[in-house]
Amino acid sequence: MKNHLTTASLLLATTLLAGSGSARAADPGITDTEILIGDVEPLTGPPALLGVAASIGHKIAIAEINNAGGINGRKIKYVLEDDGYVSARTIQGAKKVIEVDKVFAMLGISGSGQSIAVMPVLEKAGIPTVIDVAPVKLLWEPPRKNVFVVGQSYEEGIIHLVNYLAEKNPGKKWGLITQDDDYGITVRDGFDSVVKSKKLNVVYSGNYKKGQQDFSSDMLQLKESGAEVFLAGGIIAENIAMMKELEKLNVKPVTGIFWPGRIEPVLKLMGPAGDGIYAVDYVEPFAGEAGKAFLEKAKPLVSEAEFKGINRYTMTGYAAAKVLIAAIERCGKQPTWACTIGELEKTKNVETGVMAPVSFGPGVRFSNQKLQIMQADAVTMSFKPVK
Amino acid sequence: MLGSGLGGLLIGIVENLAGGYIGSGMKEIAGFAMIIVVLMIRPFGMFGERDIERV
Amino acid sequence: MRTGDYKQTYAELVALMDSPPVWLWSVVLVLALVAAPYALNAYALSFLTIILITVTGALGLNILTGYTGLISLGHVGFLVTGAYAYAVLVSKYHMPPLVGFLGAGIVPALASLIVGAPSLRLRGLYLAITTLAFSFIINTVILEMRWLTNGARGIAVQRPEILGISFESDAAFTHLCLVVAILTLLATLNIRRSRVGRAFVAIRDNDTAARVMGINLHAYKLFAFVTSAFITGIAGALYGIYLSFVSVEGFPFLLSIEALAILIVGGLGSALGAVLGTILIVLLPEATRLVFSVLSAQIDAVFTTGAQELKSMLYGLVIILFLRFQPRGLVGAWHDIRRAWVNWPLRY
Repeated sequence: MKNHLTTASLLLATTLLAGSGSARAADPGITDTEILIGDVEPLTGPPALLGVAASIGHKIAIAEINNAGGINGRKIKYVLEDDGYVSARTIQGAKKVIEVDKVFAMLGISGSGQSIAVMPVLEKAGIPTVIDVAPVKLLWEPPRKNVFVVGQSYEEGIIHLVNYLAEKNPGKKWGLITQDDDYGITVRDGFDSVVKSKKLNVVYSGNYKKGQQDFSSDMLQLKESGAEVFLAGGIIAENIAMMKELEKLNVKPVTGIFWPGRIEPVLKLMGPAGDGIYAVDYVEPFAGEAGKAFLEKAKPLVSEAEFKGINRYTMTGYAAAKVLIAAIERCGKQPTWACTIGELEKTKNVETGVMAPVSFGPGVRFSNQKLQIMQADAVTMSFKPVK
Repeated sequence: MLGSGLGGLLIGIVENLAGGYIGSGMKEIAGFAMIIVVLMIRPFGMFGERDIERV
Repeated sequence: MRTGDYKQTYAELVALMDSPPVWLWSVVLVLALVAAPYALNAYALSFLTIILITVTGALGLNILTGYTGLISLGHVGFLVTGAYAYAVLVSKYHMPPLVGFLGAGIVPALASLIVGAPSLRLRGLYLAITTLAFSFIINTVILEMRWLTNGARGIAVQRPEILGISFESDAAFTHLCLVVAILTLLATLNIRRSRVGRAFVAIRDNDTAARVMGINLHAYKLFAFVTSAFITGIAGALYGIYLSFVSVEGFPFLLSIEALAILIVGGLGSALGAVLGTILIVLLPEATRLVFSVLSAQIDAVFTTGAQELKSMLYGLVIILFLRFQPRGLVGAWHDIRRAWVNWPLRY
C-alpha cells in the first residue's frame, strides 16, 4: 500500500508540471504568419452529419482566404475538436482550444444545447465568436459582447412556413407532430402563434419521444384525423420514417419540414414519398443559381470525401467564417480581440453568396437572416426555390 | 421459444395501443411499465420456470 | 526487509488505512489535489473536475453493484433526478445551495425506494432490465412535469455560494468537487468496514446464505439502494452545476453504461478500483487523441469522419482488451504490481 501513493503523487506531480503552461499573452492565437481559429463540433455519431458539414464550410472559407494570401499576410489555421454531441465534452473542447491551443477566435460550436452550455466559457474568455450551427434565442438574448449568431430563429422559420402554407391552402385541416425536446417546443410555440392569428383548424397534434423509430400509430392517428396539411417536426430519421409510413397508409397531405432536416440525403431515403414537400430555410438551395455557384467554388478547395459531405450546414458554416474573416481583415496589420469584436459589430451587408447579406449592430448579436420557401423534387433529389 | 415469440408480440401490441389511445408519450413507457409489472408478479418471466436453488 | 501486510487482530483488519506511511501519503495526495487547480490550465482542470464528479458517482454505484451485487443499468436516472432536484430547489425556488445538495441526495434516495422494491424479488439480468426501465420512465416523468422542471427547456444553474464562500471560479468549484469526492470515499470505505458493509458483501456472495445468517435481506437491499442513490444524486447535482444547464439531454443513457464500465475496468467491489477506473475511462479519449496525433503529424489534414470514428473504436478496443487480459480490473493489476515490488526477488 505504501508505494501506491508514492507512484500516485509522482504521477500527479508530473501532470502538474506538464499542465502548467506558459504565461498568457495579451491576445493569443496570432503570430506574424498565422491566425488560429477554433471550433468544436460533433464529428462522431449521428449528429456528425451536421458537425462535419459545418466544419467543411469553415474549411472552404479558410482555404479560400489562404489561397488568396491569407488575412493581411497571415494564414489561418483551423483547430477542430470533436465533442460527440455531449455537452460536457463541448465545454472541455472549448476550454482546450481556448486555453491550450490558444486560438484567436471561435466558429460554429455544436448543437443548440451544447452551445448554450458552452456560453459561460466563451463569455468568461471574451474570445470573438461567431455561432452558425444552431441559432436559438438563448444565444443572443441577452446579447453577449463577444458572441455573434448568424442565422434565423426556429420560431420565425416556422411562422414563415405556416403562413405560406396557410395562404396556399385556405380552410384546410392541419396536423402537427413535434419532438419532446427544446426544439419541439420551439416548433410548437411558433405554430401555435400562427394558429391563433390565422384561426387554423388543427385536427391532429402529436408529440414523439426523441429517437423514436416507429411512427405507425402516430401516422395512423394523423390519417384518421383527416389532416390535409401536415407539419413534420422530426429532424432526419424521424421525418423519413413519417413520410414512409404515410406512403404506406396511402395518404399524401401537403407536408412542410424545417431546416434542421433539410439535407439532400433525406430526399434520397424518402424516395417518391418525399416529392413536393415544402421546406423553409435561410440559405440558398443547391439547385438554385447561388447554390450551384457555391458547389463550383467548393470543389477544388476540399477533398472528394469532404465534397460528398456538403449540405446546408456547410453553407451556414461558410457564411459565418466569411463574416469573421472579413471582420479580422478590417482590423488591418495588428488585429486584436477588441478590434475584431468591434468590427464584427460593424458588420453591415456582408455578401456571402449563400444567404442574404449578413449584418450586426451595436447591441445586436443576431443577424436575423431573410427566409425563403423551397420545394423538394424527387427526380433530381434536390430542393428548388419556390417563386 | 414460445415465451420470446409471444412476449415480442405482446410488447409490440401494448406499446402501439398505448401510443394510440393513451398518448404518444406513453408509447415508450408502456413497454417498460409492462416489464416491471410482469417481473413483479412473476420474477422469472411469464413463461419462465421458478428455479429452486440449493445452498 | 518488509515482506507484506500482516493482520493480527480484528481491529487491524477493519482499519481505514494499513499503516502510518499510508496516512502520510494520503495527506500528501490530498494536498497535491488541493494545489492542483492553481497549477493546471483550464483544460487539464476540467479533466480533474470531471474525474472528481465521476468518482463520486462511481462510488455511489459501487455500493450497489460492487458491494451488494445488485446490477443497475439505471443509475443515470438517479443522476438526473439529483441534478433536477438541485436545479429546481436552487434556481427555481432560490433555496440556499446546501439545501439544494441535501435535496439532490434525498429525492433520488426516495425514488430508489420505488426502484429498489422490485430488487427484493429480482436478481441479475431481471433487475438490470427493471432499473433500465426506471431510467427511461424518469426521463419521461421529468419531461411531462413541465410546471416543475420546465420540461425539455431545461433549467440554467449558477455556480453556488456556500457559507459565504463563492464557488464561481473553476478552481473553487474543483475544490468543492474534491471535498465531496473525499467525503464520499471516506463514507464508502467506512460502510465497507462496518457491519452494514459486511452484510452487503454477504448478500452479493450468496443471498440465501446471508439470509440464513440472519441478515435482513429486504432492509439491507433497500439500504444499499438508498445510499447508492443518495451519493449518485449528489454527483448529479455537481454534474449539473458543471454543465451550467440541466436538461434531460445532458444525461444520456450512455452514462449508465460508462459507470458500469468504470467499475468493471477498475475492479468490481473496490473503492480504489472505482477511482482508478474513473481516471482511466475519463482520460482514455484524451489518450487515444494523443496517440493519434503522434501517429500522424498531419492529423488536421485527415480530420475527416473516418479518423474520428476510428478513435471511438480504439476506445472500445482498450476496454475489451482490459476485460480479456486483466479481468480483475485495474485494482487487480495494482495488487500484482505491489506484490512484485514488495517481494522481489522472491516469489509470493
